[in-house]
Amino acid sequence: MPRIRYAVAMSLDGYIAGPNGEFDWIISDPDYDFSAQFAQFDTFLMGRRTFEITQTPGSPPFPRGSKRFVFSRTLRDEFPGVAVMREASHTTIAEIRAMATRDIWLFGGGELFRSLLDQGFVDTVEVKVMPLLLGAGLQFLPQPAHRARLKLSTHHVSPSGIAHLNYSVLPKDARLSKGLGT
Amino acid sequence: MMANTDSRVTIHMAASLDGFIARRDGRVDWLETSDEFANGDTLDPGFVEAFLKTIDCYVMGSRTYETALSFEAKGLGWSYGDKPTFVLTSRDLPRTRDSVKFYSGDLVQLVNGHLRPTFRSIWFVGGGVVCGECLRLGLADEVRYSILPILIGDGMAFFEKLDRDMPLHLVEVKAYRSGMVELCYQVRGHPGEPRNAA
Repeated sequence: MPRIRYAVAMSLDGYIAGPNGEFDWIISDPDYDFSAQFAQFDTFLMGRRTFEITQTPGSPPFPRGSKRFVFSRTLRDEFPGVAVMREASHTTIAEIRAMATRDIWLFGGGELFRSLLDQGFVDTVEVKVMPLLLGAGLQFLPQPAHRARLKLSTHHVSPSGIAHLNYSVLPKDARLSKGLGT
Repeated sequence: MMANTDSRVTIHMAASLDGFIARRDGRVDWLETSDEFANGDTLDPGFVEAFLKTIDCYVMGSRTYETALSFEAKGLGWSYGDKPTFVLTSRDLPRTRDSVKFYSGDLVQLVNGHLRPTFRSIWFVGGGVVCGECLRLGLADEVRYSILPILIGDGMAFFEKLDRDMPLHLVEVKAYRSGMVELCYQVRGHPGEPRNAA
């Protein structure tokens, strides 16, 4: 079954974008094969703000034939190749999974991640830790969120100083989810 | 007094992947995770002991000190051996051993005027405010960040009040059996201290 993978670049202090959505701090890694990464996916999930960033000039194009789902209660316009979803429910996620033939990239941002993580939909968390501290910005996982246990699956370092940490999300454990948000 | 040119200030903290060093109430119960990463290193007690010997003194905030005292009260021991431990506080806190010293003055003066001339390896061990201040003032040479395989969703941030970007240079990555990943960075080009070009 296609997996839902949150693959994201993060500062060491846990931000995925600057305070105004800036991405200029993300190092482009010359050794990193971006097209090979994209080829693992045919479906992309994103929140409205992330979608708007992908619509700005100069943003890399999504692979031909890929499907994009934008989760937003406010977005009214229509965009070719983009389905706007009003909510991330079990039904909608099951439908998206059934349509996908490759993995599903949870493209961001943090709020969509929080919502999908909380409902147990996220299979992996794949973080590229950039070698810097941002001090402020949009959080990798906005607070307050529920607790989730992870399992480290692989890690490696690229010569540019990016630490790639890949985790699988462990199923929820009743014992652990007690006393959340305290 | 001449500064000890070999001295190095290290910030060391363990945090969740989402960047929290403790829950809101200061609890760190999630530090003991039970993941199993088969390819990881094990922390051999002999290695840990030898490594801890290379640390010459510790600096911490008052809440970190209180957490350390509570661990000791629970029979978990005192993590800092007999190494001089400087607690930054203006409060009146219990002093349980001679190696603990309280300090309420200027942090730059403490580090550059007192610690660097005396100690070679100086470790800041928390919390977020103290370590953020240490970085912001350009006092830190190295950040050692241990990431635990958990998302805790809310809590006290790793670095607080950091008012600008700070570039780092990745020096070392190590993954342990527990699923913990330790990242070691050099702080690049911070102002204040003259140092050799890397």
